[in-house]
Amino acid sequence: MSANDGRVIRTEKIIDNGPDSERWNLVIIGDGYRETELTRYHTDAENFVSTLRETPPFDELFSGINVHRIDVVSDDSGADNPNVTPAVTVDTFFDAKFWDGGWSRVLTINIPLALSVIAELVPAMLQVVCIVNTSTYGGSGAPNEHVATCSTHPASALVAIHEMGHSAFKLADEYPFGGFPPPTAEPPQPNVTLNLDRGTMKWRDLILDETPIPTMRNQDCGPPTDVNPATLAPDGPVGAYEGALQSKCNVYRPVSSCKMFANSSPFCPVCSGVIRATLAPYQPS
Amino acid sequence: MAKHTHDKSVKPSRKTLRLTFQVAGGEVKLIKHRRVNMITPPAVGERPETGKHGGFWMELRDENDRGLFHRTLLYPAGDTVEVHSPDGAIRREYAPTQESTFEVLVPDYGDAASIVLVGKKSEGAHTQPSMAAGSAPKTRELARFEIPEGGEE
Repeated sequence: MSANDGRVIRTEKIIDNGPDSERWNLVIIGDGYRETELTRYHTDAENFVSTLRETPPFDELFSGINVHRIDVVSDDSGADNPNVTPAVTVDTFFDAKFWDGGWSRVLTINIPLALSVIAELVPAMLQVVCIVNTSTYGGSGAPNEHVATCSTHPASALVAIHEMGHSAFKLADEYPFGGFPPPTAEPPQPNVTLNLDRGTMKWRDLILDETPIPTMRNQDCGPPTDVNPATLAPDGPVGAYEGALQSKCNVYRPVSSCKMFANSSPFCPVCSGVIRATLAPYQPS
Repeated sequence: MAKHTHDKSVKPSRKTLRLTFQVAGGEVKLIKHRRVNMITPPAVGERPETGKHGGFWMELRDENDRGLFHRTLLYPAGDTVEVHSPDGAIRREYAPTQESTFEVLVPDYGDAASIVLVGKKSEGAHTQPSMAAGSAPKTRELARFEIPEGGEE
């Protein structure tokens, strides 16, 4: 289960908006595709690119993005999966595998191997997405290594896009789930805060005067607001909604539900602004 | 958003230093570097301040220790994992590991002398970051590395 279990075939620039030195370079790799399945891999890569291109604000920024597809063939098809009976063990180039137990939807690859391959083929890489040839839902991210992994399940591309929010745009998680204690100092990420001063909040310029701050507090965290969390619209006004960074209380996110809160939501205005600002230098003049 | 968006008056660097760090046994080591002809992704958001902000970040410093650039890090110890669900829900869990790596992209400025890791010292190399955040009072310099030479593509 390693580089001995396949080979790199070729690299193709499937979206070419200019020199790599001037553009934001996304690299797509595949794992668990046999040579006879490369056509399917090409389709899977195109499907991912379409999903990303249709995800605001990427839809308005794509002229600054190059996409490189690296064709890698594996000896076997699919990924290791200990969660089925009998367990599946396959020989693939990047060693794609599902984790076991409660983490059965975590799908990972050998990231150092992937980065070493990509460093030679696309040195100007800024983000990697690995598509694993399995229809079982799963994915993962390596936020400081610019790598996201997803399967071919229709909802898995959204995992990779959420993970890109971390790795390429340094966005924090906006969900409260995980039970971690809240941070004791202001987080450095642009989309979460402890600060409820509307004059100094990070996203103060996006908050309307009539929007209360805090906009929503969670039950048992403090004095309740008039807003019932169950009735919040995902596209409600930008404000300060309690719960983020895996903590329920005392840390705030900009909207009720952004893609950094739930994969099915759109990026909120704050996160969209960060993505636009990050990709601005790569846009054609 | 006055300070939230990228300062467009700062011309982006067209030369980037790709630095790879390893976290193991309570130590952070710079294990690889490469100079790449590409635009460096800008640092978006407020520049974090040591002792005031939490979390982790890297700061590029000149020979007078003035900050030139910063890059925010997320869970640099690599000891958490996100678990996604088909309905869109996400949760993050602690996933202990003995060793991890992380990569940082910074401008390849000629006047950069060092790069500094700022954060909160964990009790161990891979103490759950958010748990450590609850007990450690302030961020501080955790490690400093000289800007390496060579590594041109």
